[in-house]
Amino acid sequence: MLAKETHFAPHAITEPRLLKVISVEEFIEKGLAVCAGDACLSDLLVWLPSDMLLQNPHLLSLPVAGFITPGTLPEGAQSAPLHLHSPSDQQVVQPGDVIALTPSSTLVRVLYRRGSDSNLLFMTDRCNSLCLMCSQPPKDIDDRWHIEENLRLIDLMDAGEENLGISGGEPTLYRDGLLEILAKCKAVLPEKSIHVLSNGRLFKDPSWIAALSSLGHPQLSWGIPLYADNAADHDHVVQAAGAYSETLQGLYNLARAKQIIEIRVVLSRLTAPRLPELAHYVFRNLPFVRHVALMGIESTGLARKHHEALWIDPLDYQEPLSQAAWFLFNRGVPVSIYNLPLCLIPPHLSRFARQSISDWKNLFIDACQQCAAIDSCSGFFKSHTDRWQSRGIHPLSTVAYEAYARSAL
Amino acid sequence: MKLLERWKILLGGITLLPGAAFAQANPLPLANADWQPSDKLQPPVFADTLNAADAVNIYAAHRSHSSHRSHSSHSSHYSGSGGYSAPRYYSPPATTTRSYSAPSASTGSSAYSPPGSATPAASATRKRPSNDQKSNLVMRVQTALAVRRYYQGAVDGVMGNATRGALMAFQSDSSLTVNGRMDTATLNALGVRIP
Repeated sequence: MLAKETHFAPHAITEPRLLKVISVEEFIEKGLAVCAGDACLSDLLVWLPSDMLLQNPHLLSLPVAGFITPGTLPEGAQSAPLHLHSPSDQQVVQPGDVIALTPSSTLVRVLYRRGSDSNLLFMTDRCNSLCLMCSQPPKDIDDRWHIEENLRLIDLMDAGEENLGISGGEPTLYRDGLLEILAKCKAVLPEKSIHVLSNGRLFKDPSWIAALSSLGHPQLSWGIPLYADNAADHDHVVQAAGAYSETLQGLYNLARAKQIIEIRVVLSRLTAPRLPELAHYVFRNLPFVRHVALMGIESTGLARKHHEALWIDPLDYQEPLSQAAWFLFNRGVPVSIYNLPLCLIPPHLSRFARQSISDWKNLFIDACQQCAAIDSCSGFFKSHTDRWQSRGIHPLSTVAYEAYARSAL
Repeated sequence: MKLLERWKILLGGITLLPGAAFAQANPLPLANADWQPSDKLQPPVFADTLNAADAVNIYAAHRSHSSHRSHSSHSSHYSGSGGYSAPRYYSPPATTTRSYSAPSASTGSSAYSPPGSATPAASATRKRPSNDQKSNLVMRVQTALAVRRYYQGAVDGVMGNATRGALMAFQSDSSLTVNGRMDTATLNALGVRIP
């Protein structure tokens, strides 16, 4: 786990900035071409380790936005007007990253991390649902500025074929902004596959069909949650009347626009009992779905407040989970199990288990340190607590892990 | 998707969703059983330089190669267009109207637009770099010379006497033609990719 933000020594910028961190070697070799889109020198923050700063003080005359030294400034060294140094965590910001600076704050946020598959364009804090287990509770604020920030961020990213997520909140609330961002992703980052998380309710409006068809992004997929095979259960989980009907109409409209669709099911006390019925429903009624993700719950945000209603030990839903996964698999629907450690699923389900937790919030607990499967296990969310810990957590011996590995073939 | 197609997908071991590795049955064999090694299948040999010897270098101040376009193999991971490509300009879809506004007035308008953004001519011609492009390349050359201890002056993007002198000293030490120009051989030796 590598955090996405850290504090540096105070700086004196007067407006929020997005900056691309670039090493001297990379500046020499590629110059502004390190950025996938349109960039200029004042978007660059040059990486100057302290020995290089001492040997080449005249590099400070480069007309870039500023410099960053990944440690304390050496004694007697010169520094530039904008010169980040003395981070609390030296690992967080690295060359290639895009960082956000805010006036009168020492916090530096990494908005793009080079080489990571967990990069995210965060669209909004707003949402039209209020799911009981929401890990990122919505706020009712006008945050359209995220659109401009993301458009700028796309320019400064590396080209290259990492995954890029788009999430919120509910990204489709800013319809024009989202379409503009997707169009820009296609133009500037054509190699990156894009995965958007949306509750799909607004796709009920058929005007999305033409918009998404004309966009024609070749590597765009949509992760849409569906929590039950019936409206009452689903609407209760998302705490919005009529949501089930809207999401289903939305799913059909996405299919009409020939979009790649993934169904996401968060496993909880409310959703686990009818998983086999839900799998059957998806197979019968949504035959265009390309992937079904059955996902362990993230114990943060609203989920903590609703612990009693949501918590079920994963050991206690092994049977319906197993039925649902094999039902879909046997019928040719790709299916995955996310966020569940290997010791909580029977070996025959290990072929579905993925290391699904974003690198910046993924960790392993004490019980994992002796486990033979630690390199192929999803591990835990950083928000994991005892209250959310299954009674089945235990280190796997090498022999036990072999059984998992063999049945995954 | 029809049921039949689903079965094809399962049997073919093909996954359709990008990015995720789905467990599937029946991996395809890696090669035919009758495959024989052949002299024609030797691994290709690449010249170990950043820029090909006949790369289009519009910064070298001579034009003998300006008709070539063989630069493409070295820029293939950018946009796929051959030779020199001008910076991409994104224009929003014509049909959408931007209903949102820049960040709230308290943080100033359009917080993330680059200040004093350079606007080089959108249709940069192949033969003459714009002043901004030239100055950016000179800055990179000055930086490379500075790191190698040939140049002590300001990194300002101006090809003045100090920079030219440093360049000539570097060329001399590197057994290159001493001409004080940013020719392709010199850029290769400095590790500078032609933009």
